[in-house]
Amino acid sequence: MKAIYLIFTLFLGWTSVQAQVTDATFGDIQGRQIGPAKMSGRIACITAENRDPNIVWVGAAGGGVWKSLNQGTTFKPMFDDYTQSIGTIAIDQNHPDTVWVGTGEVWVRNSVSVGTGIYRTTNGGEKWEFKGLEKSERIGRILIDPSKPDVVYAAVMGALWGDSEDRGVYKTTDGGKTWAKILYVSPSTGCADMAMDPKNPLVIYASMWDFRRLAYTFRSGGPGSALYKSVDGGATWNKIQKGFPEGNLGRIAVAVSPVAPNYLYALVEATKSALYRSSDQGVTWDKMSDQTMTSDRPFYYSQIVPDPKEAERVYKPGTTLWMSPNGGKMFQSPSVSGGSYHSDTHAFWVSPVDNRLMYLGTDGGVYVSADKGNTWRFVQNLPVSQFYHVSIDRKDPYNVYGGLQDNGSWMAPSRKAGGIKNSDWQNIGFGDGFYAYGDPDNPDITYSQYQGGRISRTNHKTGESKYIKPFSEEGTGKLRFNWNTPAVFGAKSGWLYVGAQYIFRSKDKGDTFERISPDLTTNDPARQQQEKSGGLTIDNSSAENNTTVFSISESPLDENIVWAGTDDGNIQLTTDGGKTWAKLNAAVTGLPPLAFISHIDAGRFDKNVAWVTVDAHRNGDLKPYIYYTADLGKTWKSLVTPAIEGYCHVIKQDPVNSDVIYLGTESGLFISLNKGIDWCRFKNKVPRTGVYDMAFQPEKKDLVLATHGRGIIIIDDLTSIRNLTEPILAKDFAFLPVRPYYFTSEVNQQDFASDAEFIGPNPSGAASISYYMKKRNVFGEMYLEIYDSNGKFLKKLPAGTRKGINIVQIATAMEPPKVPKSPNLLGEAAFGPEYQPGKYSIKVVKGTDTFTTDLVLNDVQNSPHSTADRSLQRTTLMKGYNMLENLAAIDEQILATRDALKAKTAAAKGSNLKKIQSLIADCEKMHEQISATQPGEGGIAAQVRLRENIAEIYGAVGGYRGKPTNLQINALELYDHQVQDFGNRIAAIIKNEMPKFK
Amino acid sequence: MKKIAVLFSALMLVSGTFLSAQSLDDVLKEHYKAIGMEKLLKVNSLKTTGKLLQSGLEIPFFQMAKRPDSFRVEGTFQGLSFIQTYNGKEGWNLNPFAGATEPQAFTEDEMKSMKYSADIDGMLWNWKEKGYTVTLEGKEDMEGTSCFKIKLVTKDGDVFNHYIDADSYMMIRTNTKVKVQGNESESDTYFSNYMQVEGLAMPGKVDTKVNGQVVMTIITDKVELNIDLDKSLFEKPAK
Repeated sequence: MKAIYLIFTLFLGWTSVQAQVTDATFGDIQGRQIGPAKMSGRIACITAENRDPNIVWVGAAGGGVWKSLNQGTTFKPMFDDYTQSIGTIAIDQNHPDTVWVGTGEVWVRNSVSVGTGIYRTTNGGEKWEFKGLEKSERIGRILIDPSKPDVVYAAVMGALWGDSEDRGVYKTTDGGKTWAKILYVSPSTGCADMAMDPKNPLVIYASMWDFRRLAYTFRSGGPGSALYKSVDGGATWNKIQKGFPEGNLGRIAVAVSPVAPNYLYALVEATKSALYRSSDQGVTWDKMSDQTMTSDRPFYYSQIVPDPKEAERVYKPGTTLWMSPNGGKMFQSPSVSGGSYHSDTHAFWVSPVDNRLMYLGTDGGVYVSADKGNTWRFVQNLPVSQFYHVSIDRKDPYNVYGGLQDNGSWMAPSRKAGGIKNSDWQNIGFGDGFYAYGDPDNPDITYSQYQGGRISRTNHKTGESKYIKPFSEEGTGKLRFNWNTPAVFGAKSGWLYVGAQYIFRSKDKGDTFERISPDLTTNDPARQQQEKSGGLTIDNSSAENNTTVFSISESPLDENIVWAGTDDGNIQLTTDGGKTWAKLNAAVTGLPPLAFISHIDAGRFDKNVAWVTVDAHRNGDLKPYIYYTADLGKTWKSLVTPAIEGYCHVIKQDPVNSDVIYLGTESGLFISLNKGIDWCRFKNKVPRTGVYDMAFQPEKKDLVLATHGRGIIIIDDLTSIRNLTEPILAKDFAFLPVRPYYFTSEVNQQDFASDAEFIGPNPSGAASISYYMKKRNVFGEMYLEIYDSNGKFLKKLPAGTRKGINIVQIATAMEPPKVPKSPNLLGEAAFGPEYQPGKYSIKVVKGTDTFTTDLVLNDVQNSPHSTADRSLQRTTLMKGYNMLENLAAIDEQILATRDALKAKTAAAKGSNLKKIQSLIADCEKMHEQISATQPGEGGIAAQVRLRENIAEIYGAVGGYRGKPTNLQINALELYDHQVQDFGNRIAAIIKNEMPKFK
Repeated sequence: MKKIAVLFSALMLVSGTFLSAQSLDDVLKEHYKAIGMEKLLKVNSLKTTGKLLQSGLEIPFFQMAKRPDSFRVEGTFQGLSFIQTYNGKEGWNLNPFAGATEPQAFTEDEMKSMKYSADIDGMLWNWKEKGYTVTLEGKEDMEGTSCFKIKLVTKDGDVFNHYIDADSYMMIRTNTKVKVQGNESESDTYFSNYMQVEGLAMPGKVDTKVNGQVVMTIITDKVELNIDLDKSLFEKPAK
């Protein structure tokens, strides 16, 4: 055993301290999602409990699973530890706490994410169990046998970007322990949809779809597409498409009417797409409609939803929602007097209890209708927005800018009194949004773009927008722009770079462009066929544009050094401001060919350095790729470790500590503290969602993440992480610095939100200290003591006790003043005066150990108040404070005297008794003049007495850091005389009267 | 190297088997040993004095419990006291901060939570007799500390997920989902800074979090055991 122990220790010895960094190391550092839920994001699926339709489950394209118990008034995320791309959610309606989630969205646009299999909860989402199908990538439908809940069918669409045999219809008979593939067609054909006969669970319909997406094209349809039926629970299958069009079919949606199970609907994509209905369970088909909406982008919408109450009523979600009152013969909008909702509807559920109630999921969130789809109410609390990029400005509070999938470009403050509400988000561009910025020199100007390089510069003061997209010139040929065109400002120069197949540079914010590169791509004509993209249904939205520049990075140290990456695999570099370019691919060992060079980060500390992420998922390769060069691209090193999950979108070196590197992948945020040697996923309130971009805010030292599914997430104050060095990590306890603390003021707002609105939290406004602990403090006292600069003890405070980084907020105010007794709370005096700006010291006591650090409280930044005014404010505030304490002491004396007098009444007689009673009355009267003695309603004192008067001024003076008004000062003087008068009166009673009644 | 690998995996195998063999009873036994359950069972009454920190305020605070099931909580600010009492059958709440100057009888839901609090031995002790359902849900990482998760469900469907440190066997977190007025109310309680009081382990710091944010911290300064607590303390408080 001894030998084993030795070997074991040796193993540990070989591992660097940083390799032991886990998500717990980051401790209290956590993500702060500021929204937005204003426009929400793409919803992939919705379902609700049949018996109680208030209980609704929503699956987002990239934002996880959410559950509401109240028809959408509030939602709770249920799936944050797992893949955030959701394909389908199925409730076992007979045991509604059992819910299955199939991951991987099936609305397979160019930016769609990928799943990791199937999960089940049996307790309403409290705990999830992984149930296999890990290579399924996309699951679009799950059917549960109502009579045998362990019998489940999964429609596995499978891989989008390449062949795979892990697709088709799968069945489990043991609740997901084992699965059998019961219908398989070909490596390019997956199961798109399924339906079960509500009267006979052995009858299953399954539509198979032959499809393929590539970086430069999409194909829907092929020989594999067909509609199948099984009458024996999937043991055998037959094609049922007599009457469908000849030739290859595309994607087929299939559904059985819950109220008329003989009605089987098939929405068939073909050269001529149409809706078909069978009245004999698929033996024969009638073509019902070939209205153009039946061919509406089948890769993006392919559902047909029969009404659960009315046999002839059927819905077709598409770019908008359609309804047919006659079995599909004719479709119209269900909205007669309403119909205002975000376009692109992917998810739709109608209540079988009351078919007027319905939920609709769109590219812009969830809507609820209570009148059969006539009018719609927006759910304002699902922050599942999908950002492509993010930037920040340098204001205080700073603003965040970014563009979203199908929701334009927006900006919002990073902090706002009362929290960041939906109404704080301001729209600054339309379409699908990508890179967006505020102009550093002019606060009225923003930059935004929509798909295919359509960039605008907008002046919000004049309302004018200038279209600054680069255009062709003689000799350039047609320009090619990526869906997500790079438009970036140089880190050194501030010049604007825009990538087509060339790079354009503007030194005057887009008024004048010069082309500074040749075609940097492969310029392969085979990859430029997007006008033919779509397969059976042509769809050229610029989403398949390829052979374009995708990433541009100017060196923060030298504006002549510009790195560029293309969407077809080239890494290019100029060191002379674009005169000459070198393609660096050959030096990058293991570089996957023709992949997106998703991001290049030019080194911030050494101009020879660059960090590169490569995203090959569009070639069917989901692995992460990261490369690093320290010699201007002559040699490269891969920085991938098994700790990294998901294909890579962005890498950035910390601007302060060159060892700290941040990586965004399709599976979240990863951090390395040692230049990319070891990585660890950052989990604390950053779900496993795609992190597409990130920005550093220099003043607040924040990291701002653009996620493609959970909006904007801010990690406040990186200072502690930046100082998490090897020697610190080796210690049991070590202080870490935090960003400088400044007192701030905030204007209170009377702006009541409802429970139904998402409100992004603000950063903590309290002063704090930070320390690292190797282990949680389970046993023994651990607390803080705060001392002023003279070493005077001020107070004792609780300490953080967790493993990793502890951020302990310090209440930097004196104890609230003691106040005279009353049945009412005195709100204005509930807080003590804040400590004076200056240096304090904090002692952390942990068992027998003590550790000491400084806490510096800085005065308000750029305070408009003179030192004299600040000092007058302090004196006045302290005067009010002392006056309240003084009055409290006097009142206590008065009441004590009264009680003492009362005790004497029993023994007193005659004039003595009269005198005592009169003195008691005097005391009562004084107390009544000092304090409100009647309880007030709702915190409003019924009576305003001296205590209330002083507190009003105390509160007002404390709330403003400048000069008090003359009348505040005068009134305090006046009240002070009154306080003294009460003091004299009770002193006189105690001194002159009390001795008389021995 | 090969030899090392074999040894290494053998070691893993051994420890793996050991862990998976631990049953609910094993974990609870260790937990009771760690907290000094034997001593606790002999404790008839208990008073803790400390402070309650909420929204930047520090409120002097104490709790008293007496067997079999009496409980009292009291805190004072600006000379006003909020008091909650429970005598095992009935309970009252006096909260002048909510504008109530008369003690109010607890609702059924509030009474339920008082009953849970009044259980000196903790809900897990003798759970079968108390009519709870308790299961060991396995091991979970809780903010970097490996924990046993023990789920307790009451007859009313209230859920208490206990996280017991797999190293020290101390309770470090309870996640609570309680039905209040028909709706679920969820909160997390974190226990730390355990101190030894006459052989008992008592948490020196208890943080309550709702939606991940600390809403209340209770610091215990003093624990007194087996002191005389008059019955009247647990009756309807005086106005």
